[in-house]
Amino acid sequence: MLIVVSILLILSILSPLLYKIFKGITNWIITSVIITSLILFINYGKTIFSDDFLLESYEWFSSANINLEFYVDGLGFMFGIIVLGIGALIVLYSGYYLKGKEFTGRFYLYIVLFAASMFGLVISGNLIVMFVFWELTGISSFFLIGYYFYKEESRINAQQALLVTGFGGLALLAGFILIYLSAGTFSIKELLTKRELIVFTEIYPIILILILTGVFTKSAQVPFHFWLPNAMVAPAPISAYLHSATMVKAGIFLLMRLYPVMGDTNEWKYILSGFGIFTMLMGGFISVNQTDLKKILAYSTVSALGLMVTLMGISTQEAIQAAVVFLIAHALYKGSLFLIAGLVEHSADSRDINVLSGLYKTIPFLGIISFAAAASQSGVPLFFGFLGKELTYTSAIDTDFLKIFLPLMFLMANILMVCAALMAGVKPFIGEYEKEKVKISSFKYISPLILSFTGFAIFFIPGLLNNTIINPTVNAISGVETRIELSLWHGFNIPLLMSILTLAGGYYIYKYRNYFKLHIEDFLIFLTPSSVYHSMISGLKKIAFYQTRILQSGYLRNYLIVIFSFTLILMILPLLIGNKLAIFTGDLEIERYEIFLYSAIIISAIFVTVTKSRLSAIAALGVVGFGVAVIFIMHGAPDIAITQFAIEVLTVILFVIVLFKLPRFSNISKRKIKIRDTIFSVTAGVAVFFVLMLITNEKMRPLISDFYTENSWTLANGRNIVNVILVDFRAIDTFGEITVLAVAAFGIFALLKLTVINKKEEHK
Amino acid sequence: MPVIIPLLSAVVLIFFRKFRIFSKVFNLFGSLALLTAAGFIFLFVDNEGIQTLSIGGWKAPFGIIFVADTFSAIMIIIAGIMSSAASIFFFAMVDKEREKLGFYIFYQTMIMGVCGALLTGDIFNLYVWFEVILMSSFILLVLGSEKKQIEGAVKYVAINLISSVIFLSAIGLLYGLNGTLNMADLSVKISASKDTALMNTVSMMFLVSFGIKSAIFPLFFWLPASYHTPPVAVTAIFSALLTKTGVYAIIRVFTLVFRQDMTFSLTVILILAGFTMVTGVLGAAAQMDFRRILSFHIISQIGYLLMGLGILTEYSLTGSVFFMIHIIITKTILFFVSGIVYVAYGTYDLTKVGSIYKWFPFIGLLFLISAGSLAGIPPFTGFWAKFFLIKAGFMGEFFVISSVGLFVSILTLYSMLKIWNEVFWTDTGCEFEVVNNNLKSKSKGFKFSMYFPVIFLLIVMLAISFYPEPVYYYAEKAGKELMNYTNYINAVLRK
Repeated sequence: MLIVVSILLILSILSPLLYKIFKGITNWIITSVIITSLILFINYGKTIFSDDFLLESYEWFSSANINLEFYVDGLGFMFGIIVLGIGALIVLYSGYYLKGKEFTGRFYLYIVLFAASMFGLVISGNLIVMFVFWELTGISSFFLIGYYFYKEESRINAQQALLVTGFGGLALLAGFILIYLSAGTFSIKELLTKRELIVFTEIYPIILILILTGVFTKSAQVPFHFWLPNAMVAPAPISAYLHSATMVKAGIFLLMRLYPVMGDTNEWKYILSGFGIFTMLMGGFISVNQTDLKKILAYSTVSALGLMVTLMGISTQEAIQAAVVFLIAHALYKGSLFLIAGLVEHSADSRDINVLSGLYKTIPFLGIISFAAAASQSGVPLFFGFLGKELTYTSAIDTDFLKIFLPLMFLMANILMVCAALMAGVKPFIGEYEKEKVKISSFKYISPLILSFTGFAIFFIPGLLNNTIINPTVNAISGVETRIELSLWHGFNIPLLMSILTLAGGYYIYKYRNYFKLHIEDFLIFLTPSSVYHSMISGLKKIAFYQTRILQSGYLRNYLIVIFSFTLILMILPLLIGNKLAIFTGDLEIERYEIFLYSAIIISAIFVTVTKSRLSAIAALGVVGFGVAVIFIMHGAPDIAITQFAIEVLTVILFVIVLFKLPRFSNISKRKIKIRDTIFSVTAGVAVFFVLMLITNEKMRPLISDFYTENSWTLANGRNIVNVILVDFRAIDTFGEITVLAVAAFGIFALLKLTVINKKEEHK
Repeated sequence: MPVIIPLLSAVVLIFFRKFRIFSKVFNLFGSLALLTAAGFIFLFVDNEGIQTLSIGGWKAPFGIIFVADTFSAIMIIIAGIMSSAASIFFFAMVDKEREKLGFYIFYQTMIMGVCGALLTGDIFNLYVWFEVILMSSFILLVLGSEKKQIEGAVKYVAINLISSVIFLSAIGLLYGLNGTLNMADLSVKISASKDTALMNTVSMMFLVSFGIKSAIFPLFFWLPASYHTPPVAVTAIFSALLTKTGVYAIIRVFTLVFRQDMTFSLTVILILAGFTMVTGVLGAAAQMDFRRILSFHIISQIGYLLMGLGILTEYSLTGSVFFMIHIIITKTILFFVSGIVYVAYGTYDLTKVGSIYKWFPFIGLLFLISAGSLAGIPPFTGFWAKFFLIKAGFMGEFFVISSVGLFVSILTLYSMLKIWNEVFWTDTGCEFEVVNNNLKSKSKGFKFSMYFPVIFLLIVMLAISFYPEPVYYYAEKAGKELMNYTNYINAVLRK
C-alpha cells in the first residue's frame, strides 16, 4: 500500500517537470502511471478477499500512538478503485481540456496530489493518518478551485471551500481525539472491535456531532453545502473528479468507515436522516431551478450526497447496500456528465441551458454518451443507476424507520434528479440546431465514454460486481457476514411502481419547470447559508477592526493604564480570595522624626505632579530621592544611601543641563483625562501600599545574607559585605549589568553618530 | 559557554566594526560557535541529566548558579540555530550604515542575554539578563533612526521598563519573604510556606512582568507598535527569541518556583491564554501589512504556549515545548519570506504586492509550506503542535480552552489565506519587468544569503513534520522534567 501512495506522491512532485519535458502528451504518461498503481492495488485484492482485510503498518510516531497504518477491506478496496480508476480518466481528459492554457504543470501537480491524498484517505488504517490525508485533499482542492486565480471569483470561492471544509476538519480532529481518549487507540482495526467503549460513553453524542460536522462540511450537507456549487469555478475535470466523484464522497466514506464503531444508534439515525432528507430535497429543488449546466449538476450532486447520507442513516443491511450501489453509479454518471458539460462549453461557448440546444446535430457522438449518463442518473432500466434506485426504494419500504414518510421523500428527490438529468444531459442536445459544426478531438471522448458505458456494461454482469466489490464492501461496513443477491429484476412490486412514477414525474416537472420556478425561489430566499457565511466573514472583519482600534490605540498613556490596572487587579485578586485584606493589623511603630521625613517626601511628590515649571519639578524629585536616601541611613545601609545621594545629585545636574534643550513645557492634557489619571494613580498607589504592608507584616524567614555575613571574610577575604557580594558571590550579576552599561554607551554613541550622518546627508 | 561566546564575539566586533565583511563573517562564526557549544550542552544534558555550573565556585543557594535541563538545552540549541540562520540572512539584509554603527555588537550582546536568561537558575540574575536583552534590542530597534522606528522603539522601551520595575519589585518582595534568590531554593521555601495568597500576589507580579516581555493579552501593545519598524532581519530574530524567552521565563517560574497552590494562577493563565490567542488572531485579521499580520500572529501563538502551561500536565507541557520549537522555526521562515518579498517589491503592503504565484512559484512554495504549518495544516509541525495541546486539553477536560484553540486555528488559516490571496494570487498591476529586475540585479552572494537560511530552516521544519518522533521524544523529556521539578531542585541544591 505504501508503495502505491509513494508512487503517486512522487508522481505529483515530478509532474511539473514531466510537463516541461513532454508537454502535450504528459497526460498520457501520468495516466499510465496511475493505471499502473491501480493494477498494483488490485493485486492486493487476493489477500483482501481471502482474509477480509489487509493491514500494513510502519513505525512512524509511536510515542504518540500514531503509526503509518494502512487498512484495506472491501470498503477501502472499492473506494481505492474508484479514486484511481476515475483519476486516470480525468487526467487523460484534462490534457485535452486544458490545451493551450497556462500553468498546466502545476495543475497536474495538484490533481495527482489530490489523487494521492484521496487514495491515502480511503486506505489509511489510523485516524490521524486519515486526517492528514483528509486535510490534504482539502488543500489540493483549494488550488484546483483557484486554478483561474487571476479571477476574483475563483479566489473567493477557493478560500470559502477551504475555510468551510477546514472548519469541519477541526471538528473532525476534535472528534478523533475524543475517540482516542475513549477507546485508547487511533487504529481503525482496533477501533472496529471497541464499539461499546464509544457508543456507551457519556460523550458519545459530542463525538458524533463533531465527526458529523466534519462529514457534513466535506460532503456538502445543508447548511454547509454552499461551497460546493461555488467550487464550480474550477475547470470541468476538477468538478467531475473532486466535486462529484471522489472528494465530496470522503464524508460518506467516513460514515461507512465508522459505521461499525458508532453507527446504528438513535442519535445516528435521526441526525443523519434528518440532514440527509433535507439536503437531498433542497439540492433537488435548487438544481431544477438553475440554468447554468454546471450549477444544475452541482446541486444535483448535493442532492445525491443527501440521499447517500439518508441511506446510511437508515442503518439496515439493505440500505447500506443501496448506498454502495448508488455511490458507484453516481460516481460514474456524474463524473461523465461534468466532463460532457466541459466539452459542451468548449464547443458552444455557453453553459446556459436556455441557450444550448440542438447540439446532437453537430456532435452526435457526445450526445449519445450524454444520454447514457442521463439515463443512468434517471434510473432507466438497463443502466446501473436503475439498480441504485430500486435498492433505495426497497430499503426504504422494508424498514420500520420513518414509515411511509421515507419512501415518499426518496420518491420526491428522485423525481427532481430525473428532471435535473433531463435538463443537463438531454436538453442541450435536442431541439433546434443553431451553431455551425465544431470539431472535437476524438481523444476528448474517451473518458466520458468509458465512464458512461461502464455503468451500462456492469448492469449486465451484476454477479461479478456483486462478488468482487459490493458484497465485500457491504460486509466491511456492516461488520456482518451476509450475502445479498444483486438481481436485475425484482418482479412487479412497489419499488418498480415507484421507479416508473419517478420517471414520469421527472419528465412532467422537466416539461413544466417554468411553472414551478417562482414558488420555489421565494421559498429559497430564507435558506441561503452562503449569505450567512459572507456576513460571518465581514462580521469577523468588523470585529477585528473594532477590537484592534480599541486595543491598539497608539497612545502610550492608554497602554500604561491598561497594564497598570491589569497588574493591580491580578495582585489584589488572590488577596481577596484568600481573605487576606481582612486580617491586616495596623501595628506600625512610627517615630516622630519619621513622620516629618515621610511627609516631606509625600509633599514633594505631590508638588512634582502639580508644578508648572520643569525646574521646580526636578528639584522636588531631588527631595524625594534624598528623603529615600535618609530612610536607607536610618535602616542601617549607609553605603546604599551614599550611592543614592550620588545618583540623585547626578540626575538633577543632568536634568538641568538637558532642560535648556527641551521644547517649552506645554500642558496638552484635557481636564477630564487629568481627573481620570489622578484617580487612577491614587488608587494604584494605595493598592501597592496595602500589598507592601501585608508583605512586611509577614514573618521573615532566615536569609541567605547570614551566609554572606559569616563567610565574606573567611572564604572570600573581603571585609565589606556589599562589595564581596557584588564582585564575588554574585559577580555574574555585576558582569551582566556592566554589559548593559557598555551596550548602552555604544548604542548612544552609534545613535549620535547616525544623526550626524543624517545631517551631513541633508546638507548635501 | 553560550554566554561567553557571544560576549567575546561582541568584544571582537567592537574593534573591527569598520571592516564590514569581517564583521559579517565573524558574526556568523560567533553564532556557529554558540550553536556548537549549545550542541555539547544538549548532549551532556541528554546523557547525564540536569547540568549545573556554580559561578565563582559559590554553591547554591549562595552563589549564582547556571542550570541546564532538557528544556533550556532545547531552547539554547534553537537559539543557536536561529542566530546562525539570521546571521546568514544579515549578509543580504543589513545595510552599510547599520553595520558601521556596530549592528553586530548589539546583536551578539542580545544573544548573550537570551542565553543567560535561558540558563540561569537565579531569579535576580534572570533580571540582569533581561536588562541585557532589553538594552541591546532597544538599540537594534532604533538603529537607523527612521521616524517610525523611534516612535515604535519608545513604546517598546517604555512598556518594557515597566516590566522591569514590576519584575524588580517582585524580586524584592520575594526576597523579603523567603530570603533567597535561587529559584530552586525559592521553590523549596515557598512549598514549605502556608501563605498561598501572598505568594499568588507575588507570582502574579512575575506573570505580568514576563507577560509584558512575551506579549500576552492585555500587555502586548508594544509588539505590534514596534515589530514592523526595523529591517525584517531584526524583526525575524526578535520574534524568534525575545517573546519566547519571556514565555520561557513564565514557564520556568510557574513550573519551578510557584508550585504550591496553583488553582488561582493556573486559572488566570488559562484565561489569559484564551484571550491572547483570540485577540492576536483578530488583530491579524484587521491588518493589511505583511509584517503586521505576522506580528499579531506572534501574540496569538503565545496563547498556545501559555495554554500548555495552564493545563499543567506532562502531556500539555510536552505540547508547549513542541509548540515552542515549531513556532520559532516557522515564524522565522515567514518573516524571512516577507523579507524576500520586500526585496522584490519594495513594500509590505498587501494591496500593492501581487502575482507572486504566477511569476515566482518558488517563493510561493516557501510561503505556502510555512503558512500551512502556522495554520496547523497537517502534516506540518504546526499541526502536531496544536494536536498535542488540544489532546492535552481534552485529556484534562479543559474543553473551553481547547475549543478556543481549535477555533483560533481556523482564523489563523483565514489570515494566511488572506496573505496568499492578496500577495500571491491577486494581480495588483505590478510590472513583471520591474519586480524581476529587483531580484535579478542582486549578486549571487546576496541571493544565496537570502534564500539559504529560509531553505535550510524549511528543511529542518519539514524533517520535524514528517518524522516528529525524535523531537517529540525530547519535548516529552522536557515536559516530564518540568512537571517533576524536584529533580531540578535536587540537582541545584545537591540533596
